[in-house]
Order: sequence, then structure tokens, then C-alpha cells
Amino acid sequence: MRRKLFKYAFSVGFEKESVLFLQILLMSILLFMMTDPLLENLKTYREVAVLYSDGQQDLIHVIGENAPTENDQIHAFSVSHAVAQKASTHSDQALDALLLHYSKSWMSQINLQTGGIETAVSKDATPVLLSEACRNNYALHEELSIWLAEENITCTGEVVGFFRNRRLPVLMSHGSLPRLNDFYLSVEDYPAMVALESIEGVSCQPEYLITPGNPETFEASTASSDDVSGSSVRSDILGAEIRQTWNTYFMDNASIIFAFALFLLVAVFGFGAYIALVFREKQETMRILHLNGLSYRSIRQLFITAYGFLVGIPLLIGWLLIPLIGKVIFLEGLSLPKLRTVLLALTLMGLLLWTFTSLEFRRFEKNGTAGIVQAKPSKKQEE
Amino acid sequence: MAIVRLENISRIYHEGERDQVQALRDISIELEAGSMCAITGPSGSGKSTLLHILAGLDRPTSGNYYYQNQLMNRLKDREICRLRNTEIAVIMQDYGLLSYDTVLGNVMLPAVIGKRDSRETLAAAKDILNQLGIGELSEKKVSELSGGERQRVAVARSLLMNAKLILADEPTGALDTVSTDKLMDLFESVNQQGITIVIVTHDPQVAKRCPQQFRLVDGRIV
Repeated sequence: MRRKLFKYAFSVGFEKESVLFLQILLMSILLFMMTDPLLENLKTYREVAVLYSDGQQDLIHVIGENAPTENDQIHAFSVSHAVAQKASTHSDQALDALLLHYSKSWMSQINLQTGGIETAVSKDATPVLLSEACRNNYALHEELSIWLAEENITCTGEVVGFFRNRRLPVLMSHGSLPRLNDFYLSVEDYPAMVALESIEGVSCQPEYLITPGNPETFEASTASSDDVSGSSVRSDILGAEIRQTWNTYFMDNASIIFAFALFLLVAVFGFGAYIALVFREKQETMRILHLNGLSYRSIRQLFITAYGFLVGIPLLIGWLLIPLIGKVIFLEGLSLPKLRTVLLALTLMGLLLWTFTSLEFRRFEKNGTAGIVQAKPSKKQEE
Repeated sequence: MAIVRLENISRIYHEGERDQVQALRDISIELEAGSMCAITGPSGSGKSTLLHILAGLDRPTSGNYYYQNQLMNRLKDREICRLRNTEIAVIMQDYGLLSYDTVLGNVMLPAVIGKRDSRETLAAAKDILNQLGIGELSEKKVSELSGGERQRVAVARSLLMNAKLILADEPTGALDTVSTDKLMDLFESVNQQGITIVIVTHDPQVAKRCPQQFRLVDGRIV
């Protein structure tokens, strides 16, 4: 008897709740996809505060695997040059290039105007970073290569990579570091190009070595060139601090957080409506079964068991097959721990569905077949 | 012999609360086996409440309800369900059918619940459907049927288990005049087989076709 009655409990389940379950699965994956970069950003999100002697500060947000950690020492230098100003469409576009030197021996150049953040990560080569304005300019890279060759600078001269899809070219140089001013001069038609300090194992010409904590050193070197006239740079940098602030994190990720919230809102309402529909049908099935002589107790057993199976078996299979799925099926971007997370979320949702079924039965038991009366007798009535 | 005997039945909803409603007041009636009666009255007069008590779907606040001389008040839910499965059939205004199941599946439902879903019962179900003129619809889903056809499916289901008492709550409420007449013809023919029928209705034409009538006003029989 039970087997045939399960059909009725499952009829609601398979036709409606399987769709619901599928939706939950898709939702989980979508939510996961949305939250993953958020969490990833959260882990690496840092704010670098550049402090000036007049008490003001610039805040630069650095996200990504190369962001400094709290343990890093950070030094800030200001850089400015006439070339940049000359080539700039807007006089303030190439205001300053801010040079941050992390103790990790990799560097960032930050264009204050656009807020762009560019870093080079190579540890065995001298990174030469191009500013925001130089992006996508492949002709420039070629010219650079030629120039480097003419200057007898050993350099691959090729773009060896782009950082975080920002199309920031990184040039590799294995010889002596190109002299900073020469470098500027040779590319005077292009704005804001900065050569950075060599990293470990690469010799640098001392006069161009930027000394952390002494911005004047760099200022002096740029000012010594005839082609670099004047400087709008704020040379009164006291230093820099690495911070982690939540409000700025949320501000920076506002669009994705807003999308996430909107998605959740739609999901909650959509699910709410769908769940209400499914539950109404479930209640209707319970009512009809009761009307035809199935007791409350039997209905409860039937539905709780049916939904236990409906939710439990696929999840159990999922959990058991995790190692197999992980090994056999290649899921791009869905590693084993992430798969576990998805399954965990699904398990929780399954339990929630099962609990809802239980609650629905209680509601049915209370409201009864008529829908308006207390069908199950109270203890007082039974007495 | 009385199949149903009600003694001073009262039903109060939300007793002791602010929104307390007394749906039935001292109802005492007796229905002979094989009779056909109508319970009429305006909306809110307690007709459906009375029917629910007769079906064992609700319990009276006070008074005694005897079905074939057994006091229903004392029966447990499981025992009342057994009676409703085998002897007391209920036809609801909304037909009470599983819309996602077939006509035959719906008719067989009480047999499945009562563990009597044998081949013989299946044959009997098909017979009943043929007698009611809906044999060709047996494999159709209920959701594909018209109101009149659904009503006949509900009647067919009530006949499968050879119920002694059929309770119908506003069975013609959603039917046109022609369908109403056909349904009443059906009830009369069922009644002629010795089955007691109680019809709750507010339609005077339907009530007129029942030999016995009770009129309820404000929870009292007048």
C-alpha cells in the first residue's frame, strides 16, 4: 500500500519539487560563482594609505594575489615628469605616478587619476611597468624593444604577460636596468612610463636606485635631466600604511554586492512563490488522502519518509561520489573543496525542504481538511 | 434502522477566545439507512460544519454522534479514517481529486489506502466509470476534465468501496442546470441501491429532489 501511496507523495515531489531542487542547485552554483570572487577579493583586499606631511592622505585600494599583506613593509615615492604632462590630453591625467615599493620586492604603479593598479610579479627579472595610458599600445612595446636593444640593454623586449586581464604589459630585462631618465626620453611621446627598482639579483645603477623612505633621491634623479622639467609631484610623502578596511571594500565591490543582493531578493521572492505553490499542492494531496481515509499519522509517515528519500538519496550519492567526481570529471573552476561546499549548501537546503514538509504537515494537521476548522481533536475535546 | 443519529450536537470554533463562533447549536437528527436528504440553509448557517462532523473530519464540541450505533466521538482518528475509507464517502465541492493523477487513479485511491487495490477492484472501478459514462476518460488526467466530468469521477470514487453513506458538499455548486439534473439522477439511482445520501446545498431545486430536508439557520435546525 505504502509503495503506491508514495507515488502520490512523490507526484508532488517529482513534478514540482524536483524542479525546485534543480533551481536550488542552479542557484547554489550561481551564488557560489558570485560569492567566490567576492570572498577572494575579501581575502586579498588591502588599502594603502599614502600619508603626506600636511596630514592629508591618499587611499589606494589594492586587490589581488599581489596585494601587500600587513606584514609587508611599504614605502611610497612620488614620481612625476614633464613627458607625462606633455603627452597627456588632460593636464591632470598624468598628475603623478605613485610608486609603491613593497618589501616583497614587487612593485606597483598606481595612476591616481584613474585609480588603476598595476603590478608586476616577476621575481627574476626587472619589471618595467607601463602606466594606465600606455595600455593596449602594442606599437609602444615594439618601440621599447628596439630602444632597449639600441641601448644595449639585455631585454627580451617582449610582452611577457598581462596582469589580471588589465592588459598591462610586463617587459623583462635581464641586464642592467635602463637609466630612468633615458627611458623617459626615449618614449617621450608616451605618457607616464616608470621604470622601477631592480629586484634581487639584478644590478642597478646606483644613481637610479630608488631608496625607500627618501623620495628626494628619486626627485633628484628625475630633475637632473634636461628633458624632465618641473614636477607637480608631492614630494612631501611621509610614508605609507597598509590597511584593511571593510567600508572601502564594500564601496569598491558595490556593483557586485548590489547584483548579489538583487539576485537574492529575486530568488527569495521567486522561491517563496514557487514554494507556496508546491506546498499548496502538497497540502491538497494531504487533504485528499485524509478525505479518503488515510489517517494523520500515516500521512505524516508517508510524507516525511518520501521527502527524506527525495532529498536524502541524491545527496547521499553526491557525498559518496565526491572523490570519484573530483577525480574522473573535470570541473573547471569547481575544485573538490568547492564541490564539497556546493554539496554542503545543497544538503542544508535539502534539510530545509524536509523540515518545511514536516512543518506543512503540522499546519495541515492543525487546519484540517476543511481548511478552516481544527480537524484533529484537542485533548479537551477527546476527553 | 438509523444509520446516523445526532444528539444535541454543538460546534464552537475558537472556544473561549474573542473570535469564538458557534457554528452548530443542539442539532438532533436521525437519518434512516437508505434515505436521501438535503441540508439547506444560507451561507454561514453551519451546513458544511454539520457535513464535516458527519464525515468525521471534525468533531463536535458537545453532543453525541452515532454512526450505526457506534459513538463516533470516542473513536480515534485512525478508526474514523477506516470508516471514511470503507463506509462513509465524501464528495467535496471542489471534487477533492488529485489533479495530477488519472481518472482511474483517483477512483482507485480509497482502494489503495484501504489495501484493496486488487485486479477485481480495478475491474470494478472501470465498471463504475463505464456506468457513469466516463469510461473512455479513465486514463485521462483529472486536470484535463470539465467540471461535470470531475464531479462524476468524484461520485465514481465514492461508489467504489460500496460506501453506506455518501456525503456531498455542494455537489452542484459549479455545475450548470443540465449537469445538475444529470448528477441528481445519478444520486437517485445510487440511493435506489440502498445507499444513504446526504447533500448539503443551497440550491432549492436540488433540495426538492430529496425526500427529506433539513434547513439550518444560524446553526439551528428550523
